[in-house]
Amino acid sequence: MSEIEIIKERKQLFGLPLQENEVEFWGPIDYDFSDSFLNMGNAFLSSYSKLGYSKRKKFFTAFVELVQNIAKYNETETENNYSHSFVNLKMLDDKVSLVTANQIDAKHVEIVNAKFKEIFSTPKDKLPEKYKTALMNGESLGLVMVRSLEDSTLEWDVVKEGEENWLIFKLQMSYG
Amino acid sequence: MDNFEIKPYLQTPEVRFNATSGKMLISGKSYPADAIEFYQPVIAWTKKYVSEAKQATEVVCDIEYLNSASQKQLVELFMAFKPLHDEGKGLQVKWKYEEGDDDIFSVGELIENELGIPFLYEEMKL
Repeated sequence: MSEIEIIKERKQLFGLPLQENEVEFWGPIDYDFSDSFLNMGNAFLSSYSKLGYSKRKKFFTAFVELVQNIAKYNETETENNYSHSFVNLKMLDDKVSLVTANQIDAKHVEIVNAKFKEIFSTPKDKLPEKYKTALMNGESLGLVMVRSLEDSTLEWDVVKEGEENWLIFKLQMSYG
Repeated sequence: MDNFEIKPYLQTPEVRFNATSGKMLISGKSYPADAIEFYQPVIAWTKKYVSEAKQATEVVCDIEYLNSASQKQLVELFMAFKPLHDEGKGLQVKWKYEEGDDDIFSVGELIENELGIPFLYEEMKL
């Protein structure tokens, strides 16, 4: 089979190419890769005039936090950094959407659930205080920042698929 | 003491710290995946500078993007500069932010209030 035939077969198999309004990655994400992917994502977001400068900047900040959270987990909590992860960035008619998923170790599921339940149960008007405390004490504040994003919804879940545990985030922000 | 300079890159800001003139500049995007690795040499240089500084110091912060890890490192950086203010050696901080960027503006306000260092704010027109 020629290279072109292999490419065509893969495109057929995975339904490629994706629509031109989305960017997607499936594979290992470490610090170096996240830097490159974020730059690509920024260029992608910049190409959509529907998303104004100010909104794009806010959404990009959230995009950075969610992708770098995956990279940090893979770099610091997995032995080989090759834990598979997934990122999909998509421009819809009235909003921009980001989905991330990454494998987490079974021993972290309870900790992650407890931490995120605490952040997500905090009323939005109390988030600035939480953010301030986290910033000044050097605690984790990325998720507090993302949850504070205006005109947006953020959902999370930890899903068990066989022996694998996946942490999933869905962020959507209206163009406003 | 030597000056300290880092050229800007895609995710990291330009740093130009001048030990002779006391003028310090951080400018550009700051969202490195490993912010500690980027900022620790800057903070280490600042601590040494502060221990030796005789003249007034001006810090200009002109950041376009700031991830959460960089925010934490900026707090550490300004904590390193704080003795200049506390000991009355003269520390002026100019915090620039893009027009309408309430997020970057708020980070400046927070650091100012929590560390007790007065900031001057300058909104940059887009």
